[in-house]
Amino acid sequence: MTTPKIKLVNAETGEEVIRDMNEAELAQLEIDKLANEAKQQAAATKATEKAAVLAKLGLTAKEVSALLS
Amino acid sequence: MANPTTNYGFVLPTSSDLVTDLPADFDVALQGVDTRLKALNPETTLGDLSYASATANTNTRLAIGSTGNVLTVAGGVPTWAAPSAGGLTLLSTTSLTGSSVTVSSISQSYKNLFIYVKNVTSAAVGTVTLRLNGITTSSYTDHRIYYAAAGVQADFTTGTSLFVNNSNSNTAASGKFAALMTIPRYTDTSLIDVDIRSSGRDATAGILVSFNLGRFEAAAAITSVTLDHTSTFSTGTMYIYGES
Repeated sequence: MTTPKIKLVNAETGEEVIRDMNEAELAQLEIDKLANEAKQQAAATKATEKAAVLAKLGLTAKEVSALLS
Repeated sequence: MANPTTNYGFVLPTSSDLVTDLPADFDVALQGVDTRLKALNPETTLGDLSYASATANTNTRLAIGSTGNVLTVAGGVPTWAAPSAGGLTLLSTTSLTGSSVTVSSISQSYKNLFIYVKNVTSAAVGTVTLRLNGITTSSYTDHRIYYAAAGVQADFTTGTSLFVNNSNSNTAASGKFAALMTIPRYTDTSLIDVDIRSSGRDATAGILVSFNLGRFEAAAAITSVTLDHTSTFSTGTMYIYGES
């Protein structure tokens, strides 16, 4: 597996560097991945719960919006 | 020769002057008029202007300015100057590659910062996040309303970066990720708001539209921005503009 790359650009000089991520950056990437997966999972759970409630009520999301508007 | 005129003090012949003195009298009188007219009209070149000076009945010449100059006031007198810059200035254009792209040394000479990202695709489905000044602590808060396959949802989360959107490998125009991020008063050293509007693709490849009024607890002015991807950027360009 190839090492993820990082690109660094200096806006003042235009200098660009592309290199492999170092250990600290790789660790941060892993932390970010896990955090994002947790967020996505939480959103998916929320959406599933919402869908379950709607199914119980026998209503669509559109119909609930109409009721609440 | 003893009747100076009220406004300019021209000395003219009087009724008791000798006729033989008239040529010399008129010479004096008209020379006085000529001198005063020149003092009132000091312009010498096409486009020159003049304005009242501190000396009575004497104007100061203002030479024509350069092309594009505007008339302004400095030190209590008019002067030509280049118009102050306005609008947007492109500070950086960066193609997106790898899993992280940082643009640093951002000029502090502007009021607001605009970051526009377009045509983004990635190797696989993943999340794009924004970091400021390389800070990786829990200094960020997302306040999001977003539309995804499950309908409209909202959330509020604190984290170590701001959510921008998800992207995937879909290269169709409708599948590409785009985002406009506005950072007003980016040189403030306290709480910074970041308005992120974006269109991307969620994990099931459905459209994901997100409005995020993010917050960043800044300890210093923003000098660098980082876009991270949990996968890898395949295409995309980031433009950074400063607004005067």
